[in-house]
Amino acid sequence: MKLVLDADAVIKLARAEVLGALTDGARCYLSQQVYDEVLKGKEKMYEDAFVAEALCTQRKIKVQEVSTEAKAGLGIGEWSSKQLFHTIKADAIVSDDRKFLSLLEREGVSFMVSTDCIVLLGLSQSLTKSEALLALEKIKPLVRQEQYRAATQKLGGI
Amino acid sequence: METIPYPLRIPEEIVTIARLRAKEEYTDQSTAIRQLLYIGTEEYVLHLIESGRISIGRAAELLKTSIQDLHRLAEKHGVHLGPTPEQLRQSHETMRKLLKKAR
Repeated sequence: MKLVLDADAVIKLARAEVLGALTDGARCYLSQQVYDEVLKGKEKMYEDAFVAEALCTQRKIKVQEVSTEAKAGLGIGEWSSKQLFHTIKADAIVSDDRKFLSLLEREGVSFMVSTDCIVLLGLSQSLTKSEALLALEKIKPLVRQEQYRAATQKLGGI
Repeated sequence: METIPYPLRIPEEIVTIARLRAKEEYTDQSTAIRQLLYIGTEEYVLHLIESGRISIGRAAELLKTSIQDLHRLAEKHGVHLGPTPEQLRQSHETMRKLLKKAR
């Protein structure tokens, strides 16, 4: 399974402490532009930026150059993720961003939100149910209530 | 962040508040007005992301900040950024397909 992650998803999955588990079960890719966006967090010592950097350095997450330019409403990271999805023929893009997902919907690109990524890890037994629920709890303040609730229900509730 | 001169009439009360902030923050009045303007801009940008008018990546570019900072700001303001119900449904379908593939 090949997944392209945008910066929003990388940060949330790192904060949920499941980014490493995800790379064990899936081939994860970031565009160079997304990698740079995530690493910007190092300036203010955000832990997720260091976690992502370590996984990229260990080549558990592949960082790939793609040439693209930003157009109205989306950032360079999102455009480059879409480009990368097509270049490597990935299975899905992982993102929670409403504007970006609208574009993917229109273009028929498969996508998955960060909470479903955690559910996938739980249901495929890469994480135990309690580990998956704990991961969801860690990003609860960052996601919509419906999104959190739907994910916990898919895992069989708390 | 680069600045440009911009002619603007400001309500007297806001200037008074900016003067108070300038004293409290040990800065000058113009800086205090710029800070207040920036605070308002941040909040407005959060609502643009929430309603799906701009992406979080574009917002970070416009505010010259990091996505982590925007997450923190959203948390502070109690704004939950995320997909629409229809997008959640489509995400669920993708997850099911990937789960089959993983098994």
